[in-house]
Amino acid sequence: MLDKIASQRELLAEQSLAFIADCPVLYHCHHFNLFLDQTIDDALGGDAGNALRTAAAREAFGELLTRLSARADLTTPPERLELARALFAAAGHGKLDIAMERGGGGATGEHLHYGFTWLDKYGDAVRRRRPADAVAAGYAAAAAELALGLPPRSVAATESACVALRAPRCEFKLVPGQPPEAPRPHVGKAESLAAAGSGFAGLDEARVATIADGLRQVTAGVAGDARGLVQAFGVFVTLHAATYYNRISYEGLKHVEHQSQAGAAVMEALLRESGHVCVFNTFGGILLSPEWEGMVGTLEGGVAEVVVGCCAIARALGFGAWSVVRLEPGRELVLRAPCTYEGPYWRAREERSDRPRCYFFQGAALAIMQLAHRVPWKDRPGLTQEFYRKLFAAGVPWKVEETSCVAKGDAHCEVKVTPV
Amino acid sequence: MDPIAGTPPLALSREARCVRDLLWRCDLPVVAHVPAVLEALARRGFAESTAGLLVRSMVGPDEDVLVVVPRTARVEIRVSYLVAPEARAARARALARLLAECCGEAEAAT
Ligand SMILES: [Zn+2]
Repeated sequence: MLDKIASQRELLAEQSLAFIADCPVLYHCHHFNLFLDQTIDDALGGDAGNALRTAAAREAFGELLTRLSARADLTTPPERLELARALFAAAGHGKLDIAMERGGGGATGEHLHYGFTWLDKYGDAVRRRRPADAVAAGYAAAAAELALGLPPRSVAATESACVALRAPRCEFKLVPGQPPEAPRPHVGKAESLAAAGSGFAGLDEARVATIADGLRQVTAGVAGDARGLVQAFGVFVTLHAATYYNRISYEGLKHVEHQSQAGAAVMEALLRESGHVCVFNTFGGILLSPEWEGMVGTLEGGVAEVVVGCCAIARALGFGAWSVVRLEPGRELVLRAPCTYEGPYWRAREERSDRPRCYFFQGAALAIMQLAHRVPWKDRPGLTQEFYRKLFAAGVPWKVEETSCVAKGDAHCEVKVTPV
Repeated sequence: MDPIAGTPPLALSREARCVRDLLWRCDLPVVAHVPAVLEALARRGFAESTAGLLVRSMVGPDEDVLVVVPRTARVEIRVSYLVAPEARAARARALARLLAECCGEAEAAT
């Protein structure tokens, strides 16, 4: 089954965007995943947040599983459920067993990425009141729909027990026969190419491309362990659906915009902050990893070295072909991408925007500037949550502006970071 | 002197990226001994799961992983996440002792 999945992986090299069966995918770590989910729940309220996240996962993975099983010519329910189980575990989401009949069914999860990593990261300090695995819930619903040939987006899924709430395992109820959610436009390779500009050779292009290729070889070799979790570079990693991230971010933001402009500004700031969380934990972790030392060399900590390295990491993770247009240490950083993983979604599904929309790219660029200037890399600083707060909580000396964005109809996305 | 008993302990520290005691670091004293240390690990049931030769990854019987950079002899100890957080430091120390034994064997073999 894994070879069937692997054979449907594709890379748009010039744009550094990755796809499985024409559905956009990328790598994100548990720090980012937990932060973004929390942002949605804080903005919408726990119940509405959970409902949006479940629906987004059901839709995004429903499309992926449907296309994948058609291409792999899988027709029987057991084959299709096996595909769903294998993809979920290979992508680092954990072990999910789904039992479904026409009248209804359920699923059991063990070591699910969200619940397990939430418990490991926050379990000692925070008491959680709601289950953590909307992604697994939506995924189980989508897999059940596909297996039994039910209408897409018509199975309701709820997590009735969760390890993040101290249950021994996660349990899901699946109820078919709901009014199907309306389909949304597909975002695939053609839509991404329609939104994207061409590649751009920025500072140290050859080096960026070489490191990105090397890192892609490392990530390609990464697969779920016996429990369906992926640990790489010191974080738990998932290969995730871009449509999940984009839909919860943009629909969550629109929901808040209807209520208050002030609330929308807060949420935009939080979506940018998700970029800080990712760059600090994952990019920082990769820069300090033995894999980096073996492949690139020990990090000296120069500003250009860090910025160029971060562009290579972004490309390898499937965030887009980030390039350095301009770098003046202490004064300015301009990054450009033909598009990010955010832009094609906006172009395919939303009205042309009057403002830039790549919030993750904006926040990540600012965080890269902060990492390049304020982290004493040679001393191998601890990338702890305390250090994160010190770097990003207050008084960040940079501001960021996305000066071009494909969501506005511009030819590419470009962000500029300058001193406050 | 018995090479194993005579092996000095390896200095163990938390990796910069260490969260909840999962990642630790040792540096092997002799870069040239890295291949022999990897062989000694294999004799102790560690299996190689390596993406490229620039970094060698050895997975232990209890799913702890030792990531070795042959060029610099840096070793990252990745304690299995199945080990309870309060027991992870002790597991890391045990793995560092095992690495020191392997270094002793490598030393004796050369
Ligand atoms: Zn943009």
